[in-house]
Amino acid sequence: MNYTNYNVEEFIQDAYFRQWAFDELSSDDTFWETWIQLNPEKIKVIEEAKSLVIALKIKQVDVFSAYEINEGIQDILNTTLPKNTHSSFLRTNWLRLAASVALVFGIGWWFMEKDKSNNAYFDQITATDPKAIHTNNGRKPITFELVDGSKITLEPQSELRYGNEFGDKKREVFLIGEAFFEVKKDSQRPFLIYTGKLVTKVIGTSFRIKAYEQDNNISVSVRTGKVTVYRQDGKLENKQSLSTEIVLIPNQKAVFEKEENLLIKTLVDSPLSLNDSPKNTILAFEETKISEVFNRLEGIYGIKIGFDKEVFSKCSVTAHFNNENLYQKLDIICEIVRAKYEVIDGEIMIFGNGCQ
Amino acid sequence: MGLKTEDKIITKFTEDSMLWQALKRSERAAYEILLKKYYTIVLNYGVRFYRDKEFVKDCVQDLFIEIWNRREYLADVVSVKSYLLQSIRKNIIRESSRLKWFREADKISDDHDFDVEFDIETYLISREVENELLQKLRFELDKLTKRQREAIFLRFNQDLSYEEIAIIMDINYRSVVNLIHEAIKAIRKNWFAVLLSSFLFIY
Repeated sequence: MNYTNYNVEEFIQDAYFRQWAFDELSSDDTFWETWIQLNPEKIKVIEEAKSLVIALKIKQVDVFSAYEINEGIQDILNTTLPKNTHSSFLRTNWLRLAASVALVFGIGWWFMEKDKSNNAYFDQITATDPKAIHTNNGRKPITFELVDGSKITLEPQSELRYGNEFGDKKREVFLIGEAFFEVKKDSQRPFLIYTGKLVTKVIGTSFRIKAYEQDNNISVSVRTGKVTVYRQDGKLENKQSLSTEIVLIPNQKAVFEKEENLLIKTLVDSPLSLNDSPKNTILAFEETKISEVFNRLEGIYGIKIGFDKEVFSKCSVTAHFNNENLYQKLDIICEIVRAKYEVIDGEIMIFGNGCQ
Repeated sequence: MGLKTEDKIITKFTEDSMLWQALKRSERAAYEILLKKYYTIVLNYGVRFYRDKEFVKDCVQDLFIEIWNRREYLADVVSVKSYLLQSIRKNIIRESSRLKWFREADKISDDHDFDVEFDIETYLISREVENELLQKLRFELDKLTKRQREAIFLRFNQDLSYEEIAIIMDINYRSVVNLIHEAIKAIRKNWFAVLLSSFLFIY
């Protein structure tokens, strides 16, 4: 590398130079000393660069001890251990024995438990207060209010249960089937809905949950507010894993595929305008820049529309919309600018080659 | 000599991507090597966003567990390190703002902290320097934005390229160049004068 024309900033950014400035090179590496001798006119530049490298040195914070780090790594290794090689990390014989005993107990327990709903909380509720059950065996949805003021619309063939203590310290219910929730806002007591392996957590908002036992997925669709959805793996008291959790905003939907144990974020089937005003918002675009068109749609539906601003910079749209739904509108717009759209992770992405 | 550094960077990448490919084929050993290699780095980067150690530790644990669980679906990455730092950055910002939301009902902000202090600041503070020029320098350092501090941290403390930093911070290449350039300029404005005038000899 030729350093002759380097300025101060370029030296600072050079990893090799920085190593030298910090005295981290091995003692037999005399490249820089030699270089300075050969380029005496650069001594000022080198000096300033060297001092700046030191000035920019960031204070090391050793927040984690070696012990904590080691423990953290071991935790991860143990958690991710493939199940069939469980014993490989058990070094001594007696540990192995203990594990096999535990395993036998474990299997026994599992056989006993597996016919039940496999949901600790459900058992807890039915045990404490089997009376707090709302069942809808009719043909029409029924609407009722809970003690905290939240309104539930329970669809046919659905059931909602909750415990005695509901409303006092926590708000937790168990749902089979489908219901629309309008949850009364209470930041102190989040509202939790258990549906099989999926837990939905809210503070105050409206949304729909579909969790029929015969369906192979559970879905949560959000109308207003924000909703958190997460998987409940294993026992209730287990710490929830943050990575299995997603946050939904209006018009987004979480779908939990029971068999694959997969939780994905997408959009509701027919996104609604965020304003309560008429469904058929009239939208008129005349030679409108595409960025503005997407901006308007984002505003109406609260759904993020991603596109490459540079690629589409020359695109404009002339179109009138009446009561087309979001997807129909997008079809038309994409047709005009010869693009495609996809729903990815609860957002819309536009792909195309732009306009002339 | 310069070539030496470049060679190192290339081997750094190829070694990691070989491990990454092996991980995708469910090779435990590769996962273990990558975990041991990057766990501390990811942890120390994460804790600069959020001071709660246990919280950060949980986030890092979740990230590595998820990588193992989803190993077959992992995308190919150019740089494993920037992939990891990018992921933990996203997760921590998301989770911490979510926590904030649960506490403060409906307030959500994307604004996040990045906690970086320069050695020289500590030095200047400890000496209670009264020299006007030094005060100016401290003033300039104080003025650096969180994003500038983060970019400098990634560039000089983690030796990452502009491309990698752009990926991690989710901004474009040009913005990274500008962030770092502006930060250096700000410090440089007063630094040399300080050196010349204050007998602050650091060699």
